[in-house]
Amino acid sequence: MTDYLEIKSIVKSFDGKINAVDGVDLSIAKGEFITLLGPSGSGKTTTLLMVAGFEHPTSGTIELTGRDLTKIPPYKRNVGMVFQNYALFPHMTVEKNVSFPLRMRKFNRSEIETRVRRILDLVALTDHAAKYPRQLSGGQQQRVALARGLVFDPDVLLLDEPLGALDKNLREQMQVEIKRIHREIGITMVYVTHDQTEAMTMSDRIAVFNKGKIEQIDVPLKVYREPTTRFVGEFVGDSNLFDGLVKGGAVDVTGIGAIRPPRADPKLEGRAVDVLVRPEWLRIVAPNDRVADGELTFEIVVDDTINYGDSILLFGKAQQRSVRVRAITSHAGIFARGAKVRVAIDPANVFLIAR
Amino acid sequence: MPIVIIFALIVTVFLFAPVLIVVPMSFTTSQSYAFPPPGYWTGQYAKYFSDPTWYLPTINSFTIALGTAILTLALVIPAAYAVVRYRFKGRAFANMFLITPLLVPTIISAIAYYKYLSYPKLVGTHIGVILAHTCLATPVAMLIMAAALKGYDRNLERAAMMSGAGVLRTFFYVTFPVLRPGIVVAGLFAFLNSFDETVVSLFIAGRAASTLPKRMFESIQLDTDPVIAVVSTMLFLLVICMFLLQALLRRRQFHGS
Repeated sequence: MTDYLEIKSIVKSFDGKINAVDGVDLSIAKGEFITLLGPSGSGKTTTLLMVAGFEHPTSGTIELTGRDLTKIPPYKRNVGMVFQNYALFPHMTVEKNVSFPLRMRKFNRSEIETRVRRILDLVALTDHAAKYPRQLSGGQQQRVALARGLVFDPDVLLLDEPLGALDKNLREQMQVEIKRIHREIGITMVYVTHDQTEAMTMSDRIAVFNKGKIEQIDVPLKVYREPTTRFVGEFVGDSNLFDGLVKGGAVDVTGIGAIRPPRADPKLEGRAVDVLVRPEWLRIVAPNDRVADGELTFEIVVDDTINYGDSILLFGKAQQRSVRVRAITSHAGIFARGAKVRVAIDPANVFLIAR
Repeated sequence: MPIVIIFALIVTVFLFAPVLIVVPMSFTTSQSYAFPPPGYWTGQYAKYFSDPTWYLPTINSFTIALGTAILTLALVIPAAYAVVRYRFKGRAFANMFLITPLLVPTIISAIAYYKYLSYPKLVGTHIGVILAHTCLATPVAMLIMAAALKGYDRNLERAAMMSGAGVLRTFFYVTFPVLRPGIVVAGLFAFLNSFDETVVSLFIAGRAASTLPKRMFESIQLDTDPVIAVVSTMLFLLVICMFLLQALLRRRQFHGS
């Protein structure tokens, strides 16, 4: 894969003191769906606005297919964008909104007609072409915004928290919809969100932002299973993070016991680490269950449980340390507050994060 | 609830009562303010339209009000844009400064404008009155535009730019149409403010640029000519027409074709 969109050590400071974006490097391949994930103020949106051209980097460059974008104004970049609040032109019909980029680019009439028809078909809005934005639902409005961002075949489509204003069901529908469009037209998408579920379900790769820096860039499953920093482990997904010390290839988890992860990095030998155990990586051990060799078992006292229907989340304590366990309901039984439960960790399901 | 309705009715009657006197009086056969009129005819209207000391000030007033509206908008749109959108040194001062004409009593402003406009020999000219009226209309027009701009989603401009529209086309295709209601209200305000302004006009309009309110004031002072009732009636009709027009425009805007 050749690098298509290349962000090279960009820095952005608004006040000359604090760097909102602090040396971000990012190579994006053609056709990739990459998500910039992070809490608010982490620099992900500022990075996106710099790619769009609405913010100018204090230093560093952004290259798209080999040309330096930093000196090109937004309207000459051939980049599309979808905004959280849709930003549809209220005085134009759906059709006029969607044809706007083509009219600005002086496409001829028949070309405009063909393209608008094709793109409205893609987002399933052909029947609403003559309506005004305010006559549409939130989901429909966002599909118009998508169509407007895509109609002129931009080199990249930027999406700034596009589903943030929608309710949960609609958000899930739109996730599927955006993925389908990405698949069908194969456009490069840069997607900004603070919703880690959204990032997990949609992305080819996730770049996790924190305090203006990228902490990890990787495929979603890798980010989830093998976070490189404690921040990533906590921000992406639900987590148990225990203190541990690596000794002779095994990790001594403070207050719980020792376990030997099969793929422990030898460089961690003798060092203090964060031990990541996802709640669903813990197994509840019934009194008659066998415990496999190498599994670490310990007892927790139940504080509370949340029943999700398909699974339960159990909040407990082991030696004063909070532990969360997620279990499939049919295996879970009922746990009253104060009940003692034995849980087991498979050594394959332990990930050590260097400090 | 009924008390509120009764109260509303009383207020309406109170506001409407002058119209009930003025409209019949404009058709009077009397040569003074006699009420009820001794007889009815349209002679006062004929007099208004044939007397240059009445119709010339009317034309002046429209010209000056239009000039004021245009000049005020030309000043206020960019100024409001700068003050709302950008953070710059002296922003708070600029904002305050543009509001100051509101704080000075009109009579003081009038004397000041008279003195000031006499240097470039603009007293008694249309341009002089337009300049003075623009100063008076700027504060409120500024507040209206600033409020409209604050409610204007900046991402609309960004979306236009991402669509390939440069700064100018973004303004004409997106910013201006979206802000149009605010611009219309600000312009209308400047127009009416100028059309209705008396004190400053008395000082600087002179004879050549004499405005309708100035002529009306002189008429009341010097004689008891019922033509003033004709003027009042027609202004009343003008306001009703404007109101209907605005309602019509709004309806079209909201229901769309």
